[in-house]
Amino acid sequence: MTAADAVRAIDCPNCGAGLDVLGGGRVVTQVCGYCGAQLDASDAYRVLKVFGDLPRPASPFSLGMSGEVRGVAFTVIGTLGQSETWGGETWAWVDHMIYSPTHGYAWITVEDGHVLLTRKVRDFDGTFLTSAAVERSEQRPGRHWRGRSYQYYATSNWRTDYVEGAFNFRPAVGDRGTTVSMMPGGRAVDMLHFVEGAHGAGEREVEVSRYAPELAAAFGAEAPRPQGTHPLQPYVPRAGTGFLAAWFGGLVAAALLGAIVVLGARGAERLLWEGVADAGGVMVPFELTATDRPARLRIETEVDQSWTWLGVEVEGPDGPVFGTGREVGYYSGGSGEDRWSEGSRRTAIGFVPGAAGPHVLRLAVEEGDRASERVRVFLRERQTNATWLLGAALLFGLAAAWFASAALRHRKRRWAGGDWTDEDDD
Amino acid sequence: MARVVLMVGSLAILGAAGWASWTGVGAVSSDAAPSARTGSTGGAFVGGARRVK
Repeated sequence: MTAADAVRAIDCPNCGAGLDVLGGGRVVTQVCGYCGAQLDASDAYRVLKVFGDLPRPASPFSLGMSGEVRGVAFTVIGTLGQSETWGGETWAWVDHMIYSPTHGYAWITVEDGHVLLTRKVRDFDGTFLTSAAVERSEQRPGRHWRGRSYQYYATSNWRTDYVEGAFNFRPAVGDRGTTVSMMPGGRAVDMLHFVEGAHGAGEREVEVSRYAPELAAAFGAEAPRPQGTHPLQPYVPRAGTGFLAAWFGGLVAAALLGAIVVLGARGAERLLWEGVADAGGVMVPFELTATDRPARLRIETEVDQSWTWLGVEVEGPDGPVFGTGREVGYYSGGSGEDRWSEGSRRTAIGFVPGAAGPHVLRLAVEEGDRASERVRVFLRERQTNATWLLGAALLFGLAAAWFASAALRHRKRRWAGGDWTDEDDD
Repeated sequence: MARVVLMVGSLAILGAAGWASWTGVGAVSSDAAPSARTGSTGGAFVGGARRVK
């Protein structure tokens, strides 16, 4: 039994505050949470340094809290306030050292309301990944651990801003270090950390983290409210996501089927007239049988490097149905890859039939490069417009894709905070 | 509740799109719609046009 095991509480030799002694025999430092005095636990709690009155970082965990991690009892023994500043922006998080008499030391991290569990890795037999190696690497660095492939995620140059409690090393305000983090692809959610300066300058350690929101309840702490998506956060589908993806997929099929039915319900297109129209105009009698849906006149010409303005009128049993005009022009040039064309030789007019019965189409060349044009006129009754159903199918397709891609979008958000940029992305 | 709203709303969209497609909404040219009827293009047929079969 060590001295630390025997002693349960001390009075801070700097300020006199009562301090619980937590953390077992490997604790070498106790930092007073009242005055910031760093005490040497291996030398009768001699004052090593005083950090002053530092603001305690917000965290739902506090010293002395106990809880079970995978069935093993742990106690919160230390708190580190950490931060990283880069590009004018600062990220802050809190690391709590936890201790189990049977399983040793680990960390609970609270970052943007997300709770993580971190422990030391003792069986990593690959090459330690340094930030310098990352800088030199032309491809995203990778490592293997326990049969799983990890890809580089980000480098953090951190600083310790706050220290309180007991530790198995000697942390100090102002300590700096670097952590290179890697994550596996796919759905696996753990993170390997290659930490330089973990227990003092020059010390290296490999750690692994996992997402552990259950620890708040396990330690009797108030569950923090997570902000955004954490890189370690596993995908938890919202209720009904799969159902809604299938629902909208079904609606896509229904809308497409409806579009096919609607297209098939159109009347057959028939040739009304073919001949040469001129300024004098032609009168084309025809019969309209259906008035429940629009009819459509399609006019084809043979204009080439020219244009014409066609006057079009339709008169029905009840009088004029419509009277309008259309410009038709077609120009082209060049050859091979430089070939170009503009305009069109055809036009169409959709109209609402007034009444069934005999109608007359009047067609004339009113203006243009030539006095007459060869024209073919087609008529389709019972016109439908499948565009609406096709548009609905597109809308439903987007909705189905949105719900079906929820896991993929979550994965993208997890990796969005990484700092690796491929050369090709520049 | 949100799921029911999505389902009812999407069915309403499908129904409206089906009705609009079936009745040909949008298939009428703006210059040939009943509201745009002028009765004549104004000149082309003054003096009559030749009748074709």
